[in-house]
Amino acid sequence: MKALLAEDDARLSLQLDAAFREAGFVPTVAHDGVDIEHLGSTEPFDVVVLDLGLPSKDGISILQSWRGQGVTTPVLILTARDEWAEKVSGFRAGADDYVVKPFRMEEVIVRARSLIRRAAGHAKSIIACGGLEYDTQTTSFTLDGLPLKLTAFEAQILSYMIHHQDRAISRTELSEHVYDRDADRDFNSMEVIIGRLRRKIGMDMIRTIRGRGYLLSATSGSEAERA
Amino acid sequence: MRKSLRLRLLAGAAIWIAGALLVAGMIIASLLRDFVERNFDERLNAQILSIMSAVSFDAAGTLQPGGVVSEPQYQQLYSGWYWQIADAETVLLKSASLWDSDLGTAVGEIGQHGHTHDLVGPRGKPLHALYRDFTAPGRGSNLRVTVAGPESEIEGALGDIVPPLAISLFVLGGGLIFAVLLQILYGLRPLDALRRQIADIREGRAQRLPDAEHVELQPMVTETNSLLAHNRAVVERARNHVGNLAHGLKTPLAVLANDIAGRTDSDVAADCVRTMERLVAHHLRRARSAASRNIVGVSTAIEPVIDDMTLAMSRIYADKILTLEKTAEKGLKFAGDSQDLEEILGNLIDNSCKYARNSVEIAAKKEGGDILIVIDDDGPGLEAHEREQVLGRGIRLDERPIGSGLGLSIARDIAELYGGSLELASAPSGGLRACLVLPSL
Repeated sequence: MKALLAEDDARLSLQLDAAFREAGFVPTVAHDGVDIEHLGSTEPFDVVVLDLGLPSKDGISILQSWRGQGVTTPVLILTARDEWAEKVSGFRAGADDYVVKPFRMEEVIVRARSLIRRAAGHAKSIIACGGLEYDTQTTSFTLDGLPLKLTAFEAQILSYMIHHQDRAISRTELSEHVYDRDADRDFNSMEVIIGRLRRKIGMDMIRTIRGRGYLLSATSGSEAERA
Repeated sequence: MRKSLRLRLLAGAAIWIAGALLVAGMIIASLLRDFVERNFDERLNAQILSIMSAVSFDAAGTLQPGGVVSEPQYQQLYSGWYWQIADAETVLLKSASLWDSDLGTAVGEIGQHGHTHDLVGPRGKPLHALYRDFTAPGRGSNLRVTVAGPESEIEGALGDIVPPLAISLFVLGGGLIFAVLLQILYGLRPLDALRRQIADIREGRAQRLPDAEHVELQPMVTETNSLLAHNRAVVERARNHVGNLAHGLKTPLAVLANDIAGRTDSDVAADCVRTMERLVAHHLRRARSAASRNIVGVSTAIEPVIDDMTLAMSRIYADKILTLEKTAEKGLKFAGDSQDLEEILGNLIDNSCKYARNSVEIAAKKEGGDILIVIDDDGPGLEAHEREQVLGRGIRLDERPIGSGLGLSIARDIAELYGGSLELASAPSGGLRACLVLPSL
């Protein structure tokens, strides 16, 4: 999951970066308002953590501009101001949630995960796909009630796929959401990991749809095609 | 005792009116006396002329009595009306009324005439007398004819006229003062109107004074409006400073808290951070409430704020399947600052949504001069003693524990700053009911 961390305070953004990375996100840190606006409208982030007091362009204006352009990425606002007026103006601009400074890192991460899950259309914190279940808050998978052991990278890919289950995900899309911006995107290694995941969760769960990408689904192949 | 502008104007006018009427009264009285005296003199003069034309002299120049026809009052003894003809030494002829007394002897040049002053007649009655000197044909010495009437006659005539004159002048004075009073009351009415307009601002019905209808009041209106604008600017600045301070402190606090969280031996530091967080939050809140009460002339529509809060709650509690129902009378306006209303309603509705199972109902209506907002949830509710506790009654604000219920005590504090109230009760569904009373516009 890619997260844009828009925070101008250098130390706080370092802490956010570390915490998000540890929680299994692929974070991108940005400090400047104009840069942040550009990044958010051009790159496919899964969640944005947006500080309201940013240099060169304030958070509310950035958010309004994104929403105006049709960017639907869930946005979590960080604000030092805990007045309801401030929160309301954030929600009006199109924010999805807020956290008031000073905050605890775990809280930001919990909320960011909830936003990603809700944005993908899942109302509950546990996402199920057949026998496969994903707890979005503990980021752990179970298969038929038993814990599933996955590497961090496998977990990232499967987490993205279970959020967007029943939909074909292209290799480009997948790599955009699990690789660092500057990392080499190696489609072959992606193929290898998908193969490993298939062996761990069952061969029919992930299918390859020619020309469109991978599809995670609990239903059988023919049913999915009809749908 | 405060000085009165009305009294000042009235006293000024009264002194002026009384002085003018007194002078006028004195002039009129003296004119009247002149008039009465002249009339009296004419009567006496006519008598003189009739006596002079009636008397006759023999060849030796001796005065011949008889032939003098005089009115009855000159016949009546000591009537006060007298006449006599005298030379330098003796009284030659006199009216019957004089009997054995006379009016004195003196003679001047021929043709001399005038008043005999301070003449006192028989029985000591003061007389008003006129004389004329003449000479008889063939006689060497001059004669004086004197005619006198009672002084009391003049005084009596004046006595009949002066009191009604004084009374009418007095009544005129009273009427004038009353007219001045009416004029003052009417003339100062714009001041009353101005006072009401200023009261409107204080009570939040207006933001500024409308332009004055009267040239004299416009400078004051302009100054008052500038003062209001200045006041608002100062408050706004203070709020901004407070907000900037918050932002300035909270980010480093967040960094510190997160830095500490990773360490095992950080109890003291964590305590300090929590204290700092609480102090920052507390003082910001106090500064905000204090600042907002200094703003005069603001009002906030209730319904849009409820709608904003409903939007916010739908995001904050997106994972809960909550229905927020709102029934609000149209046009409700809170006599206060919008930020304060947002704080109160935000905290209350947030609390309800936090504990509600499925639904939160918000009803706003006018009750008397106030606005009553009732917020019901279908959550577990609170016991009576818990309600008092979460409202933070009797606990100083900075000693209240952080955590659940703090929002309610903040809401109560702000409501009470505006003279409103917040009470907690039981909702029909068994959940918590918050009854908020706020001043209406």
